[in-house]
Amino acid sequence: MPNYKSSGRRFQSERERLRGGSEWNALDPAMNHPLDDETLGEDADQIIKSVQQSYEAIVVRDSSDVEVTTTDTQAAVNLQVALQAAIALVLSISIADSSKADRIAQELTAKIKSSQVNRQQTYIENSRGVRVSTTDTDLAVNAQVLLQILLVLVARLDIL
Amino acid sequence: MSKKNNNQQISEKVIEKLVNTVLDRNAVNLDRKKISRKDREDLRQMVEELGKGVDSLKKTTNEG
Repeated sequence: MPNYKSSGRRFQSERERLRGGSEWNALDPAMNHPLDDETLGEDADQIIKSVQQSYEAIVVRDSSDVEVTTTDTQAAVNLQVALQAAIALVLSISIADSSKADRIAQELTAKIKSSQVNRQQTYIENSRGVRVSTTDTDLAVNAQVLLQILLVLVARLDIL
Repeated sequence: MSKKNNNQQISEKVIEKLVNTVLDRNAVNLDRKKISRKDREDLRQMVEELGKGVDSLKKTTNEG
């Protein structure tokens, strides 16, 4: 019978190591919540600030023939960057004043950034022939929003 | 083309309003450049490719 309690403790210490120090404790009133950022409310009517954190941990113990695919997270990030670059490019091609184009690109991307905290924890123990696939849904949502902005831009600027 | 749900339609309207507001506030129409045919075609292809990329990502996500 696998000892899940023991592996859970090991996993927790590994998670603390990955986070680079002490873990937030909900029972400690002196510790601020990780998402409690005082600056968030200051410009709430103008800017939606982003909080993006991803924690991923995979533990494979005493197992064979295990395949873990942790999605195309990097590809998704690349796609987001490409979409942001495309928005900036469309603006720079369409608008004569380059500083104005930069400012608009910054305004657009700053306003749509969304909060996301992703935690993926995968335990595989005493197993054989296991296939695990995980994905990062929020990234897909962000990419979809950026694409919509790009489409509205090209329509409004009469590019296509 | 799949049927869009209400949330998608609302999201698209909000984004459209956001983009239009930002462009209007910056008086973009006063500062427009003429876009060459080649640039136009390049941009069209770029948008098409990015659209495919997002569709592929969404498909991967849904399958996951």
